[in-house]
Amino acid sequence: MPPPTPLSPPELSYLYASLSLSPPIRLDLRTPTQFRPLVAECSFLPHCNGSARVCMAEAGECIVGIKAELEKDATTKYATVIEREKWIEVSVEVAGGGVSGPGSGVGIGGISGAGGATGRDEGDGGAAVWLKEGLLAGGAGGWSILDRLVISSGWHWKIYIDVLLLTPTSHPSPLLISAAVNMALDSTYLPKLTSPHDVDDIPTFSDDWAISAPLYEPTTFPRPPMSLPVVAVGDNVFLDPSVAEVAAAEAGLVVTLSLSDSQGNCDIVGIRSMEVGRGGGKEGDRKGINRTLLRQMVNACVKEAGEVIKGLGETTHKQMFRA
Amino acid sequence: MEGLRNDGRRWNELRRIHCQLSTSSTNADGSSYIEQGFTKVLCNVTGPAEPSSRQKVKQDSATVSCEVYFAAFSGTDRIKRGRNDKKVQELQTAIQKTFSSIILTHLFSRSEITISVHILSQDGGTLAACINAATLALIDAGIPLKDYVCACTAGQSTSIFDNEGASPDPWLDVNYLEESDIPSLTVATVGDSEKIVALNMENKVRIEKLEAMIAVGISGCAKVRAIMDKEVRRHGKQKLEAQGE
Repeated sequence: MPPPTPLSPPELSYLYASLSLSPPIRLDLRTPTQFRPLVAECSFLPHCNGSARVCMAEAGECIVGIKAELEKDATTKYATVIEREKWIEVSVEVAGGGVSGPGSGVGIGGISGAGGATGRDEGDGGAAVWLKEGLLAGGAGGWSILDRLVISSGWHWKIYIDVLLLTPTSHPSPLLISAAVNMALDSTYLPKLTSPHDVDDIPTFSDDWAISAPLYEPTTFPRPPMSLPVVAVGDNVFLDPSVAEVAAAEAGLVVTLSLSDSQGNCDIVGIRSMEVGRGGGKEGDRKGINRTLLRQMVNACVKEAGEVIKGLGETTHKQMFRA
Repeated sequence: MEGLRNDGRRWNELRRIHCQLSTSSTNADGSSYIEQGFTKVLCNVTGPAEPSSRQKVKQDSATVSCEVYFAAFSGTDRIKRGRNDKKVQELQTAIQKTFSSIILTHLFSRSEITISVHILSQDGGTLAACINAATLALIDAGIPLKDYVCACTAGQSTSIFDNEGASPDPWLDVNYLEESDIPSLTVATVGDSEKIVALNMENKVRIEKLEAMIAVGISGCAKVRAIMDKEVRRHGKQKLEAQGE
């Protein structure tokens, strides 16, 4: 199901025409690679290890709280990959503003996969799946977040990432959710271990938050992942599309990136297709993406996103409680 | 030396209250955010609008409905509360009943006003914070109310007696630690009239202590009202100035 829009067929066709011009004209007069302004803050929830709130004018508001709990390894031997992946649990809840009600059972941002926007990462599709997918992919260096969750032999942290969406639509921008999760992860701190590493007893931790350890060390790479929506109309590629632009687009992708150095270069850690509207054609008449266009779309993300992710990271570090 | 509570407050001191109006960019008609100490609550109001179901249509007045969401990360431990959770239902009913009597519902027949409350962080006085947040969001939405509804908690320390054997003063605005330790009540008043619209207590307390607790609670409501009123006026002024430019 493509995202529902209030636009009529003539309006869509007008929008399609203006977006396929060279140079294209966007509804809000942005350049093709320009992002919309967003309000972001972090570390405001005292009961969480990390928290963030991101607001966008059209897409609404997203609040993320991250909690870490101590958990014993399920097996005595070295944990398997499947068990290790359960160390992170993502759940997304949609609470609409009254009348529109909770998510109407369509994937967030129209990203392929069955299941609703609401849901957990246990194979029922929706946002929780691609959020976790990006998180588990470590980037080119073979680095993994799961290694950072190991406390001592037999014990690890279990990370709960709870996403609360307050949106007017059931199709908020993937950028909104991923920016909030990115910021929350970036500001997550875990208490410092005070017992020895190699003992099987229940680990003990310091009460002092001033010496707690960040989940993502602020100066190291890769950074937490970030997913960017990108759509194509004709030969033009647009970053951070609005709801109307998604409806008029011919092809859409969500590209998950993580920053790999301080220059703003990114590694691609995941690509998923995003469901878009009817484009210029009739309903059900889908053109698909050829290789050149696909390359162009991914390139646009990689080139332009580094700066945005870096900027978000810098804001996070300024606001963090230990800044 | 006068006894101080474990967070350094005196018996009649409130925690820091920070409130904001028009916080949400979504399609809600009114929104607010309130922090009372570490209790943090967000509220969105929609309406008056077409009722979401036939059952909610009243011919001569508006229906007030309330949705309460506890964020899974709001407490010390991660707990998910469903829609049918007892605590959630209790809060919803309390808020809904309180505001049904305060909103001038007869002005909006055959419509619905929805208050949705999101509890982001709990540290005692959850119901009080929800009521305060709902008042602010309703004001932001421009829905006519009789007056402010302000809520506050008060607790009675049972174990401590001074030298003469008299019990000490009740504690105003209890935090989570105090709330789980001593009997406490939540009281909500209308404007500065000292009239009570909601009173909730879940523990046992000796009857002779009750009056003092309510009195302290009411004095707290007056303080909360002053803080909320200040913010509403500041917000209104700011909006008018922005319009004038």
